[in-house]
Amino acid sequence: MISTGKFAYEPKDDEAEKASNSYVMSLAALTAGLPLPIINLIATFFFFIANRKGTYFVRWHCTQALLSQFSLLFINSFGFWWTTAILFDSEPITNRYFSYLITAFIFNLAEFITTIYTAVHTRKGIHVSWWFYGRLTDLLCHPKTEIPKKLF
Amino acid sequence: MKILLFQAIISISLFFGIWGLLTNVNWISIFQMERIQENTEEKPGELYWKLFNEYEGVIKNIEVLAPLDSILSKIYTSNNIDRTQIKVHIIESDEISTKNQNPGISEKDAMENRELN
Repeated sequence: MISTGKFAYEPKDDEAEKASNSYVMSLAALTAGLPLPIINLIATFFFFIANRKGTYFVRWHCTQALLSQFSLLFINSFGFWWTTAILFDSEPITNRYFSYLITAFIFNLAEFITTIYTAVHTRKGIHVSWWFYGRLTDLLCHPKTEIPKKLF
Repeated sequence: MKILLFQAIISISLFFGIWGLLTNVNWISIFQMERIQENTEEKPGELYWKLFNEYEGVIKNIEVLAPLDSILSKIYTSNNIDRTQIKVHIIESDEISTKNQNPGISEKDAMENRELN
């Protein structure tokens, strides 16, 4: 699920700190004391925007953090609207609903643990690449890639 | 790119696989949802009955209850209804619910015609 290895270059201490902070941002909801995963996504997104012109190591990890939050967004949004339908539209509570909630919880928990692990190791300058998200980030983030100004 | 697609498919399959496996578990009975739902439905019912009992006139006259009971017994028998599952309460009220058989006249005229007859 997670692989550690060497990055394209040895990151400096301030780079490692910024890269680690991108994962800490995805735990923002915890500090806010709210069980709303959307806050994690928003915080991670704004951190990504703030560091889009940063060094490759920082950009890479900001991108990986953001991509992982996006997939959770779909999982959590579906669960949220299903719950709303049950509460306000007389949708019946079924085994499928409970099993979906538990599955979503498992994935959120796995992401949470992985994020903490990655934050700790990235702070030490160790490059941590996640299953699927690492490769996707390699595809999107290049050493000289910068996000065009027109997009934001 | 191929590895990426493969990993994406595995991840999505893992999610749906876990969801599918967990669906086989009867969470409704584990979390006792049916009992909670029954309790939740029972409480407003008890509250309404308490209000009716305090503010509306509940009829307990045997001359009213006895004929009604014999009518209801026939209804229960004909429709295979377990009478222990039903409670009947008769309340005195000024509101009358009528059905207008003749659409050409108003509800008020229909009520007056019934009273005269």
